[in-house]
Amino acid sequence: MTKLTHHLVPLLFVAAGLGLSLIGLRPVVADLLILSVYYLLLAGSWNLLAGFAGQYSFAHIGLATAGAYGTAALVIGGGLSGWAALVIMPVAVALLGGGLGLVALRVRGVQLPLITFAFAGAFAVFLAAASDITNGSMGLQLPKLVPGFDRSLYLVLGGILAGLFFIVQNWMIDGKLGLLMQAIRDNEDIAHGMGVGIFRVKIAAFMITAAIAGLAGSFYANYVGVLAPSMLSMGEMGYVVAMAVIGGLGYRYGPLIGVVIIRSIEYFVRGFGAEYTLVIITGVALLVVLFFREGVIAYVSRLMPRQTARWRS
Amino acid sequence: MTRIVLETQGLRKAFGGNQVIDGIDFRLAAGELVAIVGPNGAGKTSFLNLIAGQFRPNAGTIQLAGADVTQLAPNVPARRGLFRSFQNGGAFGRLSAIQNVALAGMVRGLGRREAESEAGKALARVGLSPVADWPADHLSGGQRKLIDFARLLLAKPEVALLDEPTAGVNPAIMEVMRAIIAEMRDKGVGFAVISHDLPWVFGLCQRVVVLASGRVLAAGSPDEVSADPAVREAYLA
Amino acid sequence: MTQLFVQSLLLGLLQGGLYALLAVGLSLVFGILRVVNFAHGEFAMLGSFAAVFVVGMLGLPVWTGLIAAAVAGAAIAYATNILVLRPIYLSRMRQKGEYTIIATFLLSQFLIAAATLSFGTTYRKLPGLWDQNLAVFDYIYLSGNRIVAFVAAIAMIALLFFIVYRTDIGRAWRALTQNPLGAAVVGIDVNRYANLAFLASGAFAGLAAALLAPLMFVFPASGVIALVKAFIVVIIGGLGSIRGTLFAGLLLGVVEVMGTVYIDTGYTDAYGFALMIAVLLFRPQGLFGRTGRTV
Ligand SMILES: Nc1ncnc2c1ncn2[C@@H]1O[C@H](COP(=O)(O)OP(=O)(O)O)[C@@H](O)[C@H]1O
Ligand SMILES: [Mg+2]
Repeated sequence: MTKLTHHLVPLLFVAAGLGLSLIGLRPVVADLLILSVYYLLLAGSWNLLAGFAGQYSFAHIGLATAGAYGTAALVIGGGLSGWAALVIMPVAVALLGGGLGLVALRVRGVQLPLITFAFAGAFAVFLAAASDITNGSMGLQLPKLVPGFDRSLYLVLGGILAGLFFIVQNWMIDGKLGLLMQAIRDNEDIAHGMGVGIFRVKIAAFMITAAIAGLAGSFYANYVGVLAPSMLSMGEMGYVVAMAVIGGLGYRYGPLIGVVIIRSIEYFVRGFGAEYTLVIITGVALLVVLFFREGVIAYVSRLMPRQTARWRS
Repeated sequence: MTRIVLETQGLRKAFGGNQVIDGIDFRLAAGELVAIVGPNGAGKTSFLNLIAGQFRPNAGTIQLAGADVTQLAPNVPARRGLFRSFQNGGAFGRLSAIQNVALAGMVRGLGRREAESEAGKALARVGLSPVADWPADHLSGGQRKLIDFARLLLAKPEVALLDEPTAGVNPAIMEVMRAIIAEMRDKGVGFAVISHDLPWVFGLCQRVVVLASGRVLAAGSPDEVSADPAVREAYLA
Repeated sequence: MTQLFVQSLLLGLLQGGLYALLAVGLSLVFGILRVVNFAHGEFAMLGSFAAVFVVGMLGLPVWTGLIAAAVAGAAIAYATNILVLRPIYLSRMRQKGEYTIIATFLLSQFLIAAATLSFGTTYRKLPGLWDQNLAVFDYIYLSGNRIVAFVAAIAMIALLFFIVYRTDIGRAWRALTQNPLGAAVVGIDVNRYANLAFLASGAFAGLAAALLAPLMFVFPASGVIALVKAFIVVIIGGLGSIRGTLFAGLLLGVVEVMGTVYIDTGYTDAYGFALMIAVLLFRPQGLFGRTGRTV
């Protein structure tokens, strides 16, 4: 794909959001699409962090949850509007992400996934235990961005946020930062020896991807309107990881394809009930990882040899 | 008077009880090429790692272009004009050849476009233009070593440390390497080159330093060193 | 004052022994194969379900539940190695470490989903072997189940030490740790010893979960909590070090109980986390860990 196509993708999403809001979709479909934007932002930013920068953090869903609960705090506690929270939370969560980045600077290789997993686990236990703040499993109620049950506004907003994500992603991957991140992913010692400032690159990668996760969380809170600690379950993280790896980690459109595949499966098997859906989705993700190693994009492009170089980022 | 661009004094490094570098004094002048030779395990790579900041010395000092860089993280000396290549090649597997080379310009402050256009020229110089868009993983060992040389062209360093550039490389490529080194040396870059290909490296260098067990066993012109009985016993025989 | 202190210390050690047992298999497998197994917690979870099945449904004596848990844990660990992990660590792909993490993480999610589907989300309990409170020194009270669990845990870890340092299996494991390729060259059957390591790791996890079951609950997502504890233990102790795991497990138990007693009862899990952060700041490779050669 050429650079021009990459720049058209954001426009496409904005246009799609506008168009779909005008057609008037069935509520089920609209809900599916709007929440898919939440997952696209999460899987996409996780792909930038893990697939491009090589930092396998399992705290990403924790950052989204922080963004959601922060939004609730601003709206319920601070009396601000949901719109203000959508702007403030990415910044606040980026600072949290910077903290994670500092941890990542201290450790090597497989330690980061372990630590971030423990971090997310501790945060989940805290959320469940601090029922005086989170209202326990009853959840917190938030007002909608505009009163009523109109989904068209969220379709437009979702299209804009998805477009925004692809703009940021293009800027990163095609710019300096993206190349420096990938160098660190492939061999940190050599990158360091070449003069790459590991500190700056890692912190930047963590902060930018955390901001996107915070934005996702804030969008979720504003849309769903009810927050429960289960938002931070490892199952949700599993979902995000599955989406990123099914398409292919380290591929620009990997998460998009993963989100489309998983959300479609979810849509078609929803009749069986939530428990079956979860088994099917995690099962499919596991099979893809075991048999297609680098994901669907790599597999398909191997079937079309000439395309390989172009599909790669 | 020639300018000293790199100097180490009393450099020492131990891993556990293993004294890997045992007090090395070393000087390199601008436009000078020093060959570093010695048996496997002598500490040649470790010596470069110490200079480049990859290892922290236990004792001793390192001066780069007159400024002290002892105990600094590797990116600092790199930004102050130190280039080093790695024994196993320094390519990033999933990046294309041109991206691999462009990085060397980007750490010098070039923008990505500018760096990539310069990288294209450097790749042409080393004969890698046909594979410029291939991921480094798909290149041969010799091609990956040429990536280091294309980077060297972009990095425009004051001091270059090359770790066994000629290992497993065919004569045509060795000739490309020789030409690039000679040209840059004549422009005033100081080189320290590790190699086991003595005819090749002796043809380029003014001075030879022989390392064994972390110490300087002998130093001098290629002829002096080859005639030294201690060197013959430890390395050449 | 001293009474409270001694009681907390003992309680912490008892708890810590179980943490160590939970984590030791994880550390063993990492030490040998450089694989971090994110499905380790589900070995524990399925083990405790096996115990509930044998004791609660079949009505067999409690000690048979422990055996069932160990066997179930070992079986699922063995299957995991063969079906999921071996194809990866024997392959030539890049970033194997990260890849095994993703595969085992997705496996763990699949096992949780499958367990939820099969067993439901009800919280179950296992009767203990010794449901009694004991008075030690006349003034310290400890639950019999905790003592049983601790003794069993320490006995199992001692057995592992014996295997690692005194038997041929242990010698082969250590050879693999130091030099996997070299070990293969001198004729050590990597597959066989990898299988043995996974069997041991799964058995230990299952047993630990069954010993913990009378003190906690058995439910499909319980493995996540177990894994968080096990991770904290191996990060503190140093990944791959069995000694470090034992020490860190006991330390974690003591710190949690002490924090709960002397600081605030609400944040038991936070103390272990704080300990982990402190260790990371001062010794990122863990108390007993080593850093490897990089360039
Ligand atoms: N990171 C390290 N940890 C422990 N020992 C090391 C490390 N790096 C090098 N060594 C040891 O230092 C000695 C010299 O190695 P090296 O510098 O690679 O030798 P050469 O490049 O001359 O062949 C060897 O004994 C090697 O095992
Ligand atoms: Mg060497």
